[in-house]
Amino acid sequence: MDAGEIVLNVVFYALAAAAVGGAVAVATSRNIVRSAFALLAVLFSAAALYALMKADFIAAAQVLIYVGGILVLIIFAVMLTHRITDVKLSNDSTPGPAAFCACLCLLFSLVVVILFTAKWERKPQEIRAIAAGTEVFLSQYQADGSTGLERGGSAFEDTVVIAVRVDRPLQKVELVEVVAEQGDKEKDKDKYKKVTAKAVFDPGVTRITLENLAEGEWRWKATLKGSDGDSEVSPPAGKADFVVYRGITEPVAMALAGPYLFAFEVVSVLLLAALVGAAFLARKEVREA
Amino acid sequence: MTVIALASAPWGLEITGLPVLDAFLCIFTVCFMLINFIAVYAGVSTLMERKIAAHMQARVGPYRVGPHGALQWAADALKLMIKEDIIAKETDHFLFRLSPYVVFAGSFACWVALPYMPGWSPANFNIGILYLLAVSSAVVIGILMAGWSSGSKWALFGAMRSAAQIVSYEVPIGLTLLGMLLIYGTLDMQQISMAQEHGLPFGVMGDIQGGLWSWGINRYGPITFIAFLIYYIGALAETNRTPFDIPEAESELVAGYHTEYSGMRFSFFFLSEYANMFVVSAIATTFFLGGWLPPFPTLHAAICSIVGAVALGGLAYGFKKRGFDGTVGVMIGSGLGVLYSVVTGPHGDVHEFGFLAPAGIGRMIEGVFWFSGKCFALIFLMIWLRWTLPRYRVDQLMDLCWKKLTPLAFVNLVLIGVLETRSEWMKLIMDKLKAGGP
Repeated sequence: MDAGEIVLNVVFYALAAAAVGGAVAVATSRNIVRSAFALLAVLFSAAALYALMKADFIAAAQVLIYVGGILVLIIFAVMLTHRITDVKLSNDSTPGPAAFCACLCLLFSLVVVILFTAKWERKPQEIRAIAAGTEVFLSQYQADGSTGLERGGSAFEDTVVIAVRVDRPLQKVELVEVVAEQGDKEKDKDKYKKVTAKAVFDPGVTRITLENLAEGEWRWKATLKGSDGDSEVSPPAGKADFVVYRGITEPVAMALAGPYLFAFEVVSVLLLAALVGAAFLARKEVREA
Repeated sequence: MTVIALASAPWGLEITGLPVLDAFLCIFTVCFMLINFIAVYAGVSTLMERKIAAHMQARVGPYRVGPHGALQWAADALKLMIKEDIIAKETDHFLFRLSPYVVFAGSFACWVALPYMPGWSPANFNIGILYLLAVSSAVVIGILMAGWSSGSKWALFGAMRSAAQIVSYEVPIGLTLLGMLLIYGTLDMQQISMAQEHGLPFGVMGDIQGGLWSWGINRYGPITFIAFLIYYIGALAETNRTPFDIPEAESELVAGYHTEYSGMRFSFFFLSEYANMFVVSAIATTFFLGGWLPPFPTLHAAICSIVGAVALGGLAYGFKKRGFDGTVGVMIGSGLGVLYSVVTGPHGDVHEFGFLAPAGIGRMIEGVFWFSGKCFALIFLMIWLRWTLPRYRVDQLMDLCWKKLTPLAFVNLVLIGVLETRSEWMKLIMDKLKAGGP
């Protein structure tokens, strides 16, 4: 573990502690306004955790909606109620054994569900290819090289790591070169882009780092170079091997306006219903004369 | 053991050789510089405010410290620092101490995402404007915190008014910015600035460097101009400036949400208010006034504009007694100059001041000059309005926001959307024509 990872771990645990501590303060504080302000710590830490996972759009949306909207409204509602200056009405009931057990059960079932459904594997699926009679396994990783990148998946930085695994090299290989291309060379010359990178062959896994990738869809092929001759391998033909995005705003927008459009609209109808309901409850009684 | 996967330093700089440590050092350096800049900037703008106010009321203003009172702000800052820090008995001590930091952090965090010069912001976010809108919401929370924890009715009322006002005016502001985002198609503040370099209003002559004619405010003629007005009015309300300063109304609420604060804690609120003024002006500059782009893209345009402006300004000065204002003359003159240079075509590139400095740095200095110049012009306008207009009442304020600005902003959004799709159609039709008839 290098210095960078230590720093990031410290940051992660500090944020996680702040989130949990804030949540505990929300639940145990005897003053309802203080509870509401403790919620600020929870929401901000959660946003920071999103940012740490490079979900920049989600982090900003979290702060914008939860802190700027919902938390302000909660505090507002609390302050608009009677006797705002001495609010000491909150959390009078101490958690009984039943509530404690119920919470533990919920936590346990949550952990079980996450353990058995979440995909923990961080290595991507390897693509098998044959080069000069040898089995070659190709895989692609996100920028830091520890998290896998699915085929056709999204890379959120301008760097992608290609891993080439050769278990039994038949011929002598010295160098591995990867050429990534964007666009069509013949059809559209202005939009065509090419990035080349190479690494010394390692008789296990060779990692080649492609840098300064522009946004958009990329395809790549690897060349194993040796004194006996070159052999070329590439992932099977498809739309794109990976797509580079700068930030996650575009993928989120694409998902919301594409496959999840219906769900998105249904949620907005729900919000509209809530709005109409609130207006109905808050309106003045109109008496018929 | 790896808990989180994250890449190394985003900065191409090597200090210690350890990427993450380098990144942290860079961040600390930039933040240190920015905080100091905010402190000095806020001080200077208080002096600016007092001097402008004084001259508008035919007084001289602060005059004793330094030449013409130019060092008054430093004396004020020193006074605030050594003043006694009073915490009243009835306050909620923890929240009372915390809230100045929350408010200041909210406005300071905005400063790192502003596009000060071509290609460089302290933190070049992909989600620029969204981040700015998000972190500035911490200010509302901090104000509510200050008002409630003070344990005073004046402070609480001030805080409630302020929060209600900020939350309400976020609606028209958000809608106008959304309309402009339809035009630019990006949330990145740098790219928004860059997008205003070419084109004339209504998409006429797309690839020409139109100077101030290609800025966001002129993009769709009157529509984007109204968007700018809505944004600016909303920004005045967001920063609690006159005519929307009911949260601090001295005649009703003593001093609003910071009534109970004194010394350094008070000065944090003060700094935050002036920092916020700069931030909203910077957003207006980036979205509507071309960010760091110069108003006159070529030397030719600059000369034409200056000659036209001087000529018309002089003419206007002669007619001043008949009610024709000199500033109008200068504005019309510079506009005509740009229009002339656009019509006659580009005559050289002034973007790179090759004779002043190496090309890149010259462009950066130029960018900083224009960006801060536009921001300070908008801040001057805010100060001007403060000493010109009377204060709104609470109900008038809400009436203006919900019944006038919000519907107007909606109409604006729809119109910009229609015009944007129209230009998409235009492009399609042009492509069809180029390809050889329909």
